[in-house]
Amino acid sequence: MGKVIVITSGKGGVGKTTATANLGSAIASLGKSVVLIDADIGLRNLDLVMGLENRIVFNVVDVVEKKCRTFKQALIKDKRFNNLFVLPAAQSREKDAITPVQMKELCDEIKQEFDYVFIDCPAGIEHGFKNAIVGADDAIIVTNPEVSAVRDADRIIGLLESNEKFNFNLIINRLKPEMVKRGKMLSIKDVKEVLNIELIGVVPEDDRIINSSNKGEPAVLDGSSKAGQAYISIAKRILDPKDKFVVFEEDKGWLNKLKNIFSRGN
Amino acid sequence: MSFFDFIQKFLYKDKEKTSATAKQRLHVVLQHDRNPLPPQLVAMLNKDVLNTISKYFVVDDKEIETVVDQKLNTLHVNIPILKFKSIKEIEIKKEEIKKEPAPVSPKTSPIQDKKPEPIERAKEEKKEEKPAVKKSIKLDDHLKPDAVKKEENVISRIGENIVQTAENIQSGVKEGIQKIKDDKVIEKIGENLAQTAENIQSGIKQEIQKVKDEKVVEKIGATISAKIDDIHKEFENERDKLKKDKTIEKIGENIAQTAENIQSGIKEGIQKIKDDKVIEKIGENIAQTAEHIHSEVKEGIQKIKDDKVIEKIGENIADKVESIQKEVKQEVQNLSNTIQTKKGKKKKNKKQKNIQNQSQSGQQSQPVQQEQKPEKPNQ
Repeated sequence: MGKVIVITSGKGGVGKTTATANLGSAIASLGKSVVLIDADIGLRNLDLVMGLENRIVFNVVDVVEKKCRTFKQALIKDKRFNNLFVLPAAQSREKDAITPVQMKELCDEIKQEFDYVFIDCPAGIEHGFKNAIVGADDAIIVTNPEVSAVRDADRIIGLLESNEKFNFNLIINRLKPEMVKRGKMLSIKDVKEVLNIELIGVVPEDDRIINSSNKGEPAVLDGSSKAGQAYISIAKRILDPKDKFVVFEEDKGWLNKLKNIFSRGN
Repeated sequence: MSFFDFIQKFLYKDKEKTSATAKQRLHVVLQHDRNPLPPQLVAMLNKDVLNTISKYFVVDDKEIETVVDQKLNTLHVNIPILKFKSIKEIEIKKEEIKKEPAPVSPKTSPIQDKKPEPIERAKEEKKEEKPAVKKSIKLDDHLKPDAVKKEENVISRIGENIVQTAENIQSGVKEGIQKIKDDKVIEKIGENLAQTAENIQSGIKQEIQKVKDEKVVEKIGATISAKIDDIHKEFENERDKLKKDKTIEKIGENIAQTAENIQSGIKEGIQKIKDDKVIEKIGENIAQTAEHIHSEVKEGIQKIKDDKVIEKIGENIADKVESIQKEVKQEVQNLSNTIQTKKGKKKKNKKQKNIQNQSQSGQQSQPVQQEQKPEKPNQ
């Protein structure tokens, strides 16, 4: 039996969908069978980030309304990995088209046949959020090193704690190590200290993320993307929590490059 | 700090660390976000928790801190414990609570139930104090009831302090005893206990001294207030006297004024007589005016009779009346002289008769003033 992991943040725009796409792709690349569910009904985007928007026939609402025989009929197979599937959201429906009970049943059904189920949670703490978390075993909270994102993450952590007891981990996304060094950005330590939950990984700010979403190809496939490498590292830690924690330093600028050269000797 | 860090710091001159600000602001806002308890609920909860906890521990009720941890779904209540209570103490309290099921407040009643000796002593001291206080209060009880209340409050507070001290001593002794029970080195503990007892004793003595001092001060205050009251009364008496004096003065002035008015009236009348040919009527007017004056003077004299400082005023009046009388006489004499000269010139019978009437009316005013003179010595 597989594991259902919800990827949530509270605040919008912190990189939930990107994280879902990349973690799903990375874990699939590591040989596990994965389903990505877009729970953001009315504002579906996961299919677009994955480059699968032209292949949609059925969506998650169709599945719970039994418009297709099984959920498998609605799953879109990924272009790159045979063991990766996407269950898209309905774009023209309301968020309350699905009840939490239906969502729980669906999650339980899917995880019988797949290793990992990632749910891309909508922003906010309303109906869509409740649907997204109800069937989850674990949660990954994505936040940015920025006050509003951290505050919303804290709210989400509070709600997850009060709703159900499951494991949750933190991803700090879009970190700029150079800014942290100058004291212009909350550091990893700061965010960890404020939120006081387990940190599973740090993703640096990377312009290539936009490049990959432009093409509809997850960044994990781009070997030169630091963010993609970070997601692979996180994926490894999801599979094995003992895996090495890697924080990718930003190496732009001649000083940093020089510093890296010198620090390699140590 | 490495060499490159140093160069980086040197290059980036903008040294404002906004991350620290962000962190601090987050801490503040999250602390607020995370605590879902309204302050009223916290206050109620704190009260109930303290009531329960204080049965078993001596706690600092001002330092209580209540926080809900949403992450762990737990309630954190931090109460600093000042002292641990022994099981015996707790059991004794429970028994006493059972015996007396309706305590005034759950905090104070069990503590009051504990004490056997020192509090009784304190109560006796209280009893001794109160009657003494009442005595001193009686003096100015009807004068300054508010002050008395304040004093009573002060005394009751002192009494409470004594009781509190006694309680503290008691609990200290109990603790000491408990230690002795638990400890094998009893001698030292005994010494400590003796020391504690001495401390307690001196504390009580101090409190008693304070009470005594307060009492002495109270008595002095009472006597002072009594003296002030006496002075006040004397002052009021003096003031009343002065007021009476002033009324007499006014009466005298009124009389003098009236006399002056009369004088001027008479003068006017005489002037009119001089100028007017119908003298008869004028003579009658004069007689009437004289009568009025007479009655007014009588009234004035009557008023003066009521007063004790009449003599001087009476004499003044008499002097003035005499002078008026003299003047009137003079005027009448002058008038009669002028009339005689007129009579000699015109030799008209009618006028002679009128003049005779006039002279009679002028003589009428004389006996009025003569009547006053015998009255004065009587007064």
